[in-house]
Amino acid sequence: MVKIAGCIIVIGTTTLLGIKKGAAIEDAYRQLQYIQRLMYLLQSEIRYARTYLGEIFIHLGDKSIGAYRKWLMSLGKEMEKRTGERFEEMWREGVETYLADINIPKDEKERLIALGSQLGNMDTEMQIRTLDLYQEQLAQSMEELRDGMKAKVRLCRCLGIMSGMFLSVLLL
Amino acid sequence: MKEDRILSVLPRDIRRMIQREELEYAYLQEIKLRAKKPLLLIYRGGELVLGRQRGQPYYVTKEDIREMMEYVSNYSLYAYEEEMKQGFITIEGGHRIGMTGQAIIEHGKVKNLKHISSINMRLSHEVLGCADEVFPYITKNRRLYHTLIISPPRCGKTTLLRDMIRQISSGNAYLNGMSVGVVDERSEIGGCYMGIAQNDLGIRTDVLDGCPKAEGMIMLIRSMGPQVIAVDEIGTAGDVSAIEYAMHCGCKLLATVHSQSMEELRQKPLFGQMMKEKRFERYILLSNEEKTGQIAGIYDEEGKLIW
Repeated sequence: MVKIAGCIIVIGTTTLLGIKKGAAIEDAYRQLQYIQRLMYLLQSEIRYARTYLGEIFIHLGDKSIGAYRKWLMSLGKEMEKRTGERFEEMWREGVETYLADINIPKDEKERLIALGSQLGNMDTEMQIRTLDLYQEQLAQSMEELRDGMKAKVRLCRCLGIMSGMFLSVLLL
Repeated sequence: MKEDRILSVLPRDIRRMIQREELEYAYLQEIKLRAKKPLLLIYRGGELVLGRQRGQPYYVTKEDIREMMEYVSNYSLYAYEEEMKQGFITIEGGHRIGMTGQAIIEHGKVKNLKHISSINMRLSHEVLGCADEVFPYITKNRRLYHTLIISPPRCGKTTLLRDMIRQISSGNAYLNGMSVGVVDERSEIGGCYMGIAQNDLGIRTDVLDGCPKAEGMIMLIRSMGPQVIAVDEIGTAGDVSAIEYAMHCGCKLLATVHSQSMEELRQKPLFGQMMKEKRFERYILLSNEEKTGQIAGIYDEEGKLIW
């Protein structure tokens, strides 16, 4: 009886771990989708209203949720303080502080940080092109992630169950 | 004057230095930053080199210029692309930030500036009541005359215009309050921030901020039906024809123009014609011989001195 209960616990735990890992893959895709949406909004504010960055961040932050809200609002407020810090430093610190726990691939986070060095200091056309290029790269990453996503999620779930069964056999 | 607005766009080191000087901001006219040159202030009509008293004038660095450009543009130079073409940006409060550097030319025209090496901050002063003495001459039977303010640069024409707008809009002993439409192409009259005028322009004033004058006047007439239209620094044929259109629509006009004297204005083809046609009924000539904003004379539509 105890052995059966133990097996159920082991299989249940590994199955949950598998499900969690699968959900993390789906979450990474959702986070990238959210960043993509923010970039679209940022681009249209620059293109159509020529609004300056601080104002856009406050405006976008107000409409955003969770960590993105905190990041954008704090960035907007930090820019208003005019402490002598360069924009790209404020941007990098913001991403590293507020988006540290966001589940996105490491190279995407680095690309997001690098975007900060190209914002704010060129003409509008260049700003639009920079954001276009960033979005193109982001869309490519999302496509790659989406392509294998279903198979990976299923694999994680199966591996969870199978590894539980395997451990149970070993323990028995 | 709101000194915080001025200080907030200055680089930190310069901000601290100016704060230490305990200046009276009402007398501060310009702050001049030139890379690798001493920091200069135009204060009480004279030049003030900061740090000279201590034997160590402050030399402006390229980093100071970069920092100030970031503050002035709110870290968003692209948003000021059009203004940069003209060589200046107007910030909240109506202060004008002029700059020089290397021009970027495209199709034979200035597209933008890069490698900014000099910045000149011209401070806007809101002097409530400075227009008091002109009202007896620009009104009759509680009716306002079409008025043109003539002045060389730095003589206070925008300050005078701003106070005239405020008094006309809110009403005073000579006029009942009238609705005023202001086309503030360079954001110097209202000193708008996010579309809201930071300077007092009265209770019946609508400001069209950052809009070209000629286009703005027509937009205002169609959309807001103002009794008075005010514009700063007219100079092109388009401005003049928009003024004529506004006059035909029954609006009273308040405008300013750069000129040293009535004679000089008469020599300019555009304005000479307007004067001949007696479009404006009053001309206020400013000078800064004794003090900034000094009224050198008020003329009627014939060009006859009446004050």
